[in-house]
Amino acid sequence: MVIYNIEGRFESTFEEVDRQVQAIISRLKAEGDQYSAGFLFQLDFVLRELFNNAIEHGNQMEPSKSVWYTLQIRGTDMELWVRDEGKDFDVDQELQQEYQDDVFRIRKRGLATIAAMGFQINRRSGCTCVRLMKKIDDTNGEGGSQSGHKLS
Amino acid sequence: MDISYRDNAVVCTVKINLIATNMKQLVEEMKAALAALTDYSSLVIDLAHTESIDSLGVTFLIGTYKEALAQGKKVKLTGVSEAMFQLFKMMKLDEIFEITTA
Repeated sequence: MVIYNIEGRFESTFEEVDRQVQAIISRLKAEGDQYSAGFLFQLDFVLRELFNNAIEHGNQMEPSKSVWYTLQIRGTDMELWVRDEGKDFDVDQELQQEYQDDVFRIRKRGLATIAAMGFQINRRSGCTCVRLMKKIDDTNGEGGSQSGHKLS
Repeated sequence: MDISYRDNAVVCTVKINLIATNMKQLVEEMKAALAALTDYSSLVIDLAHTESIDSLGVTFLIGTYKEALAQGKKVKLTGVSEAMFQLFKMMKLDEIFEITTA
């Protein structure tokens, strides 16, 4: 079983978000064709959403505040933790607000999209941690599968 | 972003990712395209060189669509990767944009 554990901390700027995401995706791409283009695209989107949310809503764009993350991949199981220095929030409530049927809405679509991709979204009680879990499958960016297909 | 004109359309070839760090540049450059749109029937946004997108990138596309619509113009997305197309479908963007995959 292949195990990757990628951890990091960064200051609250969009430039740092981009740098961290590129570093993570580059590292996984370096593993050859182990991860499909669809999965890597989804992961790129998910990382940007959670990191942007953390610096924007959690840390209020204060560069001196930090975001911590841990991405762990064990075989076909992926788990991502993101923590910021903001106030606690209710993931379920956020998701409900995002489940609007207005395609023209300007914001509030990231978490619902992540859920539609098949990621389970949880929050650790008492801190501003978001936990994502997903079975990595071999789709090309389609909605999530919970069946845990092995990578080809 | 390169702006060209063909088949009665303003064609914007996006050369960077549709992400937060690039928003200011993208918005500025799209202003020129939208200003030129008056003399054309549609706006084509070519995303063949775009690998990453975030919510702000989606907001940028929707905002551009609204501005073009206000002029009575259509907006088409071309060169969209299969993975990005699946994302757009999840967001129901395929209901408002005509999308051509790469």
